[in-house]
Amino acid sequence: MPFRRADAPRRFLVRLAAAAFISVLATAAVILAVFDRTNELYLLEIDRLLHDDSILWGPLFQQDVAIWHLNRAAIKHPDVMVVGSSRVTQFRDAMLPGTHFYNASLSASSPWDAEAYFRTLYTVHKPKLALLGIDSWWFDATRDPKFPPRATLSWHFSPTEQVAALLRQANDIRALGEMITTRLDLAPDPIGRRVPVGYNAAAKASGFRADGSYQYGAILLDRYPLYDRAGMGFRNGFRHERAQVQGTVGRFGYAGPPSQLAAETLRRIVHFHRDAGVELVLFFPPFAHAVYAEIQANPAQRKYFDEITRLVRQIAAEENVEFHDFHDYAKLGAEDSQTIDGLHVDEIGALAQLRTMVAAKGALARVITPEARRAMDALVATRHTINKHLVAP
Amino acid sequence: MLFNSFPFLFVFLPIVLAGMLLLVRWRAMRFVAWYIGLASLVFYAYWNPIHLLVIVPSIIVNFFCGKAIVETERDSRRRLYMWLGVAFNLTLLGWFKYAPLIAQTLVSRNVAEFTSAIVNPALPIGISFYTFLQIAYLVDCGRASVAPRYTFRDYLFFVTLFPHLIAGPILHHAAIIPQLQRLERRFRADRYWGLYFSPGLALLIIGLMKKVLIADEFGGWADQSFAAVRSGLFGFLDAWGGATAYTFQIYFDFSAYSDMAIGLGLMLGIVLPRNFLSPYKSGSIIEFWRRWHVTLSRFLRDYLYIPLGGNRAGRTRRYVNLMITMALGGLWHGASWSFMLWGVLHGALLVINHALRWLIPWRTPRPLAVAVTFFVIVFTWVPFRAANTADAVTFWEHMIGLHGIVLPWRYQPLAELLGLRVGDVNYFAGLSQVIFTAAAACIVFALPNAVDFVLSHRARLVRSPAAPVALGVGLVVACLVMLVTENVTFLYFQF
Repeated sequence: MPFRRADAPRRFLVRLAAAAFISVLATAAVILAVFDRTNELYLLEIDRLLHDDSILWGPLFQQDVAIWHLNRAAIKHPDVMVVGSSRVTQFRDAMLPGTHFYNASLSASSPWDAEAYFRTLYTVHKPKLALLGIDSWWFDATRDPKFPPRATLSWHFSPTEQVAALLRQANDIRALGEMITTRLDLAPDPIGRRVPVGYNAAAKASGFRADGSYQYGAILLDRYPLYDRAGMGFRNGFRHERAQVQGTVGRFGYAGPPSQLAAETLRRIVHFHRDAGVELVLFFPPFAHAVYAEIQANPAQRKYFDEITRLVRQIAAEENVEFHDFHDYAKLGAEDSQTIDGLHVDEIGALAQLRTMVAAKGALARVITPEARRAMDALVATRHTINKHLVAP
Repeated sequence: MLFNSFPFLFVFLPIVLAGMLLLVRWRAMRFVAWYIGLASLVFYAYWNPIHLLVIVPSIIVNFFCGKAIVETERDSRRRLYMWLGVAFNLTLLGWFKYAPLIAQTLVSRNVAEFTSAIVNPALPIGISFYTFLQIAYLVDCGRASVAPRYTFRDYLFFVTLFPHLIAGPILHHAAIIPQLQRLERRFRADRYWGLYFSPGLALLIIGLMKKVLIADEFGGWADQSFAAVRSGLFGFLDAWGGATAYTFQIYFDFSAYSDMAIGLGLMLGIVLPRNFLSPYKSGSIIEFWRRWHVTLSRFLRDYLYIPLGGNRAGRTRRYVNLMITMALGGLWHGASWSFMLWGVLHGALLVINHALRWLIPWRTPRPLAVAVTFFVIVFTWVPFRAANTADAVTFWEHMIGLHGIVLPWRYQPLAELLGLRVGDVNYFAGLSQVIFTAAAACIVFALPNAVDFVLSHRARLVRSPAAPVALGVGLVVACLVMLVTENVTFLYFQF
């Protein structure tokens, strides 16, 4: 008889239960320790994250950025706001003094994201004017959602999401190694003297400011080793970005017919704004001129860009919505040195876009005050006082 | 209710086990089969109660059809009843599973549409499994000289037993129903907790860990790779990353389900048949099909291949029979011609394998045979997973480098050395995926089969101080991952 002693199975089960219980405690301790080590414990004080304007929030995980922007926009009650991807991060409230401005950058990396963001935010606050930055890859038909995307967003930060992201990150050995070995600096960030909250703020001085704009600290302070290795940005001749265009890869990996689903969604966004009584301006954020020239030199890319421009222009004309095509940075009178990299212009470039919108006497010109207009002109004169890429600290 | 979900693990299962043990304690053994049968229907209804309208009539019709067969003396009438029953089952399966395929076939405009898998939310879950096991029952009733005679309670228990109901194994009535007579002995306290419950719990936890910690991780990589095959961002490493990820995903997913099903069966005092015998350790495709989905292979052999003539009518006929069996076996997996293509591909490989054995007298060294078989299997999973055959062909083209080979930026020196391009690699997770895959390969090729190990070391397992601790830790880690990730269904649930 293998089980003469009847207490063996009982011991087995008791040990299993005890090990499970201890594991729960140990796991909780490890998660807390990692969050503490990575300056991510702010999750326990979400209120500060939402209401403290003196912080620079650079989260380790990006999954809650749209939720943060929702809450912040609801608190700030902006009259003018920008929504889009990383390519609209450089619009600052300092560019429009006297106007309540908010930049919900990085909350929309597709038309479906943008639609969900607008639909959720407008249930509590409607600005007078929304500027929607549209990326060329939004019309990549291979990115069309296979299932109906979320119609609205949640308002709540979810600690579970943070733990989930941590666990996902935990099996990326390189990211885990970086998380453990990087020295964090909890002193106010060297650029804007804001209190760093979150891993990227403390490790790279990168993060969101109170107006929702993003400070690319790692690049401004030259703390991004891959930047030169991959050949990114002006000083490397935009080698990385141009290679993407030439090879039809990366962000330029699609040059087929524009997604009709994306076009329909864009049209739906326009209708939704009309129904909500919010003015909408559509615009293509700029590429560095060298990158844009590469696009024009590539027949497939040129055709794709012509088609999406024609498509958005047609939607704008039919729906009577203002539209600006800023794809070519040179047409804004800016230089390629005023970029973060080939796909992202800096604050000088963002200011140039706003000034062009105002000069066109469109919706933005009607909303901002004369002081703001004068201040914009003044900023052009006083730029470069902090850092050549910034208009304000 | 998935096995890897909190409602199943912490609500349904404890309630079922507690109820069952109470019945045992009250010496109401005759109610145990009823209780588990009805609980299994609740489990089934949790997915979609409307599907009870398919499974319950199917059970009733098959039970009475079997009863009519065994109570009929005349052979011709027995055969008639048997064929009527089989036709009823095939009609049911055909109507729910294959009618949408025929509809799609009629309106397809190109290869991609013709071979695309159909998402059919109306498909009653598990219908392929419970239909096959009932067909086997009817055929056995028609064939047997001493026909099986079961009560409705026993038959209901056999068909609905929840550990197998959704994704197999495909049970044989003669292996399960007689166990009901032995339940009382198995539930004796000195036997049940040590011989059944504890090893069953261990297998349940091992399966849960395989599913949540390994299979689903590979699943994420495989999903993004196969979804991107048509995008301009896809390349050589993405294709290999996706194909190997799916190879390991389906292995661990099916292995996990099999472990959990056997573990749950043991916790109920029932020994389920083995369905998964470390198939990637196979040294040939013939061996692979003796180790992968064992109960399906056995069903196809006993109820299709042998009735077709098997290998009794010469070599050519044998090969034709193999191709037919594998093509239908492929189509059983899903309403898509690409599944049939996958079956045909495996049929052809089996024919080649048999022919090579006949033509070449020597044996390939085992490690080489295992490696070659594994790579062939990696390739053949592509049409099984791809959205359609056109995608599968594109995927294969990337795998063999027809669209060029691009290494990630950080490997520029290596790329220069090899004369390759560098660029963005978008759907391959890089070093983490390589390390994870290597670790999974160690588990697949170097460790013993979990069910073998647990069942042959039951006594040591229960006495060992380390095993319960490892299982307890594993359970918590798996639950933690379940808590923070989307609940992913088992791959075989869709078949």
